[in-house]
Amino acid sequence: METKTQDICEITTEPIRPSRLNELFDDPSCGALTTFTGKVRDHHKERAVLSLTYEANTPMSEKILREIIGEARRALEVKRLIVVHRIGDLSVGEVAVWIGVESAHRDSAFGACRYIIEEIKKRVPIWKKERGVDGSERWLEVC
Amino acid sequence: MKITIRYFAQLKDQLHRDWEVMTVGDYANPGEVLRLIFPKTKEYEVMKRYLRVAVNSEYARMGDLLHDGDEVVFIPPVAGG
Repeated sequence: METKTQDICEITTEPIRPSRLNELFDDPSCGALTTFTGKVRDHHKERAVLSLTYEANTPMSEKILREIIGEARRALEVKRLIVVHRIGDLSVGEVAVWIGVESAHRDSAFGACRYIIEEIKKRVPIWKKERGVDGSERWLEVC
Repeated sequence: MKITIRYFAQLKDQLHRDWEVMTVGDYANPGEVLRLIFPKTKEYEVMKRYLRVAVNSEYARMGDLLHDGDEVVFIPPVAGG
């Protein structure tokens, strides 16, 4: 959903396209755009990973994402924030979460981007089940 | 009063259901509801430490009062991002 400030935060089942999301940042008053792309990695600790299944309490996740970007906005001088998290089955290399922050200067952009991903990992009710190459499955906890 | 409980992730797998409607007494709290789901003391104590709780999409405490029509979600450790 989009707010008056043009921020976007959503949970999606569709593939995330970073290049398309990058194009949404075009404010000429901003000298900095920081983005974070979280992808499915091919290993977790010593275990080879085949895929991840993400599950979310979607209404609560979107609500908490809005709270998180509101906190980032109150603490830092940022112009636009976009956060998209995908749920469903994702293979190695696919994008699970994408964050973009545009601001006049780089300090705010870096700071807000970092803050958002760290808070997502602590607070947003999203879970992931890892499927190993050996076929075993397990729900992961914060990493 | 009637409340709706939703389960996700490992809790959903463990309980083999993703939601249910439960009738609870007036002045019930999430801790008491958890006790109804896990009646064995040892398991209840483990779950109470392991899970967080949300009521109507807001994080809440196990001792908070519930109201008729509330939606309760017991939240296993989150792993977004």
